[in-house]
Amino acid sequence: MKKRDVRIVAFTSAVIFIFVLLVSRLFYIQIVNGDEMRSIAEDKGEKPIVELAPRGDILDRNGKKIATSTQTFNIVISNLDSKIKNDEINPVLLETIRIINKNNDGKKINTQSLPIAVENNQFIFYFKIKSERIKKIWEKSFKERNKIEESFTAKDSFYYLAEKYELLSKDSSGKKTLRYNMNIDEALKVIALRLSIKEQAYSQYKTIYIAKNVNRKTAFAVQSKILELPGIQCEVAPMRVYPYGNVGSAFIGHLGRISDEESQTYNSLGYDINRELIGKLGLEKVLENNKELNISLRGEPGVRYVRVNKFGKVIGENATLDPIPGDTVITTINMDVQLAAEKAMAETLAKIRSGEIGGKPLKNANAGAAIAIDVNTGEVIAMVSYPGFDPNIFAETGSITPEMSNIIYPDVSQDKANLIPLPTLNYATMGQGPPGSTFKPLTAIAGLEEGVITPSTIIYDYGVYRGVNGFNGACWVWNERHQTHGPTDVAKALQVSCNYFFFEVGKRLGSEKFQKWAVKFGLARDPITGESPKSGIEIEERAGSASTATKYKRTRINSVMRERILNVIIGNVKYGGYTFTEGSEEYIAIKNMMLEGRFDKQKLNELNITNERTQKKIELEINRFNSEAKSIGEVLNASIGQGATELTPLQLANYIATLVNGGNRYKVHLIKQVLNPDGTVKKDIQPEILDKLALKEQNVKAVIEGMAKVTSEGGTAAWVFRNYEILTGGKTGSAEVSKFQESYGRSAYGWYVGFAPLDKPQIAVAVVGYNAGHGNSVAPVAKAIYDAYFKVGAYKEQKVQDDSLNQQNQVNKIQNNNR
Amino acid sequence: MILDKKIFKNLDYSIIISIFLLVFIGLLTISSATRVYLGGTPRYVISQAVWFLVSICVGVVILNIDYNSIGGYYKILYISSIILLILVLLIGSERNGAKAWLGIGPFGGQPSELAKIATIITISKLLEDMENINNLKNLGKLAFVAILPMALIQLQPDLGTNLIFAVTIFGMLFTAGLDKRIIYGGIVSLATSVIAVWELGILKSYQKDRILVFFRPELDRLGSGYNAYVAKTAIGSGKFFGMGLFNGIQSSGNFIPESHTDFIFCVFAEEWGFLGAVVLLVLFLNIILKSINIASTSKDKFGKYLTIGIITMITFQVLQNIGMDIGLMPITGIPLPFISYGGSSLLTTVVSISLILNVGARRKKINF
Repeated sequence: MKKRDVRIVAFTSAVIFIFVLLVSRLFYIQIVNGDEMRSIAEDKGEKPIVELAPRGDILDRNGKKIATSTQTFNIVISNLDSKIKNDEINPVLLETIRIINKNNDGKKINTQSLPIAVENNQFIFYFKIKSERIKKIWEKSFKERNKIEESFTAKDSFYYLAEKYELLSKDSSGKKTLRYNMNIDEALKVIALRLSIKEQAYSQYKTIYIAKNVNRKTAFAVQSKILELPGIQCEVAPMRVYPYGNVGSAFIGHLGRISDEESQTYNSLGYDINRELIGKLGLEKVLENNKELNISLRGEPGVRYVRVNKFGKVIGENATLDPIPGDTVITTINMDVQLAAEKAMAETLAKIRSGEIGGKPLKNANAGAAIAIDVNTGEVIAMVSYPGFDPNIFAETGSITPEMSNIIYPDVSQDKANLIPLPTLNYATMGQGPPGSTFKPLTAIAGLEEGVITPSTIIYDYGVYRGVNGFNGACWVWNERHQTHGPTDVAKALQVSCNYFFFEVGKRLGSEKFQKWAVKFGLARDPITGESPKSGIEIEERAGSASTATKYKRTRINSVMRERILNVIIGNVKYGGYTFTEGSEEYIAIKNMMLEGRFDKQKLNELNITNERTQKKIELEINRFNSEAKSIGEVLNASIGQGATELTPLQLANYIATLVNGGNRYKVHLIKQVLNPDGTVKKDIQPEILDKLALKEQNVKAVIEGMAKVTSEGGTAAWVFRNYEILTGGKTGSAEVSKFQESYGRSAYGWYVGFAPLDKPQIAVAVVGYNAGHGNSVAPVAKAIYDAYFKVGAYKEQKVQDDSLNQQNQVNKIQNNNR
Repeated sequence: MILDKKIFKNLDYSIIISIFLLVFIGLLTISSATRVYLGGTPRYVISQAVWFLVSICVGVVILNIDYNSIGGYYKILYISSIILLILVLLIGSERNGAKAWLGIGPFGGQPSELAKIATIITISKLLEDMENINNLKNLGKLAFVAILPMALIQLQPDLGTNLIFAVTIFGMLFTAGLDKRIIYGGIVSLATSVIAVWELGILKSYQKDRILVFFRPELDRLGSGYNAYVAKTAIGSGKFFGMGLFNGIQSSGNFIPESHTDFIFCVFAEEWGFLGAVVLLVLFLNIILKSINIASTSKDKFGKYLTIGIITMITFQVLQNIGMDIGLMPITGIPLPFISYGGSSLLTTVVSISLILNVGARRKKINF
């Protein structure tokens, strides 16, 4: 017992020793060294300042800069003391504002936190949006945030905030006036900045923008007064620049601010939510910080550890961690071809609108897309989506003016006929449309490969197709002129776009074989998974599908389930009075049987659907749905690119590429190489074959011959390629929107697919013009692409330019425009 | 709830008052660290206050049960804490590089907190039944019970908690009469294993950094040493009287990392100065010395070892947390009992103390 007491005493002594140690160490730090530590804390507080990294450049395949970064000057305030005295901060902000105003950069001052403006001597709430409803919501949340009474007008709110931040003084008569000889505009700006600062109260080491991208003169003016403006700094920060403006916007995309919904994700990734812009569309979005591809355009921000005094003024620098710029991405794009394609697209559509092409003015031919692919690698040479937009407008602040917003995001709520083009929609990868006759080469190759026709098979065109009961489609020459093409082989059928011929091939193929080949070329949904075909392209795509049994079923399944199953069986005593609903286990099981076309009695028994009449009914409907989906009429329509067929230009271009290269379906890609910031190669992207179709040479030859005839005399695109230096192959397509399209301003889609050169194809193109009337009307875009790619025609004379010099000029121009 | 009047009468109120004062100081400091006075969210302060109320309720329940009845469940407590430690490795969520958090949404906690108490109870129970702990069989048994949870915690990994474990168990064995030769032997083998651990790469690089920087704080003032440097500056600038509540430069300027959890003492010492720090330490010392007294006068050995275990744990946490701020200990993520923000840690500490009060209220009559 005594021994244990010794241990307790020892234990107690140890505890007391520990406390004595703690107290004496505290005494040493707080009393002996206290003065020194206090002075360090007051005068030499150390703060990290985050320096954003310049985003990685996006280059074309020849090294031309499509997107790069430039240095801009920002006026910022940072390292504020937590308890700002109004008398200290207001004069500083006001003086800064006055300097910026004097140098004509007043518009750049960050007033986002205060949605109050003065218009015609009236105070108004001012939000960058059209919708009155959202304006009301924003106004309310602004008032809540700043504890302003809900009933206050803009003027009341202004005076309330001015009072709160001590910007008002009373004169002898008791009238309130603004202090420091401020005018209303200056007061608004001071309040806006005070609100910005308040919003950042918890993260005071962060930088608050006073004005972004000010001109050099402003920056120097502020810099020269910096000693009188504690906390104010002039920082040099990178800004995104797109030297080619709107050229290439389809694949470049644009930047934008981190939204409230995104903020948590990006916060955890270490982003500075208030300062950094992120990619919102296109390559900028996909490559923002792509772990899967191991590409990051963002890079790593750097940190400067600076010493600041208690007024937040930087008085020295302790250490610097330089920012690491983002990866440089070399795309597969050829900017010369891209420029040519964009120019041709705009000009061609303009000519269609004026009637110079096609004869009849089609004023709604205002959207379109074009894409060119290297047939031997799957590399995208050019990608155009018209109308497109200039990504530079987003680069400065990440948001755009309300006027601009109306153009970039037009209000389409009243646009039932889809006449308004969408600049930010990539029509090349996301715009699905009926491809019409451009689909016929697919039917041709499928028929040849399956052996239902040979290159020399002759089918006689009688006008109206009578091969299938109940189907009365006819060749277009019959519909227009009551003529026929007479005896037709596959090459001629392609040349003159003979519907009759392809109806017959479609009939001979039948539903399953037709679907098989559409899937192989990436033009139809997978019959098992129901998934859309993927081209493999890095940016977002929304692939369509040919009208196959799978597509037919997927489109119709919900209404069929409702009309033929639920409405009949549910609650019906005759059918056993089942009560399952949409989405239930039973519903899903039956739906899957319908989609698969296979009756599963056992499964139904398992689900307790044992009523014989019901089982019979389900079996009947499965078979009925199956035969409808596989009905030969659907196949016939699909064989000429009609029916429910809807595809994107990207899909069509890659199918032509696959066809003319002998059957190698390549993964379509936009990125060729990625470089580290130091210029070394980070990764090389090699062509990848998704599927080898091993097409027979004579079959490919027969289709190519037919497509060659399209561009020669008697072909549907002959007028465009008359006397052209290189021989090319192609196919036009004109697909109606509906029988009554003209009544609401629409016209047929004009499609053109093609490849060049004829003997050894190098590139494949697909072009679409919305409401362009006819496929041959948009063929000039394809020709312009060939011109630029093979340096013929208009591009023959082009001298080799000093591109780097030219580009620098463009960068300068954009910077100046932004000022 | 009916509180046993006798228990109520025999409670050590100076411990209870000390705890209330410490928690109150904690709430003030948390609100300063989260800048509630500047419009920061009061979420942390409210959450901490609510947790304290919950902890009190749990503590009152525990006071009503004889600690020996609780001790009777030691097997269940121990096994369930081991199961939770395994679960957290399988389905726990990762925070600050350690897989230590188990729960759904906001409800949950760190199983290692429960494991601490469960292991202390188990070891106390085992020690009570042992005539002499200095034989191989008994030592082996104790070692097994202690090392199993530690091994699981090392897998999370949570070096700080294991440090507490090791010191706590050593404190218990020491008071239970561990042979001097074993203690010396232990020190030698510890030194050897420290070298081995260092060389074999068991520690994560950030853990190594922290230890290295502890020995040479000027090595890397901006990287790993930044925390240590800022902590010392903040505390030092408090001087004798402190800068006043909500007036700290380093704390309000957001210089101090984790200022409402691990580095909360910096905020306190900057604002309340040496004077405040001494008062804080006196409050802790009062709890500890009163508890040692309870241990030495406990009616049975179980109560004694239980109390010693808990108080070693708390003492070490105080030493470790404050010590790392003033350069006496390496930096680890161990909270300061009663003061740091953190619900499950506060609950564990209050529950532990209520176990000590429980032992104290049921001991034989004592003479001062």
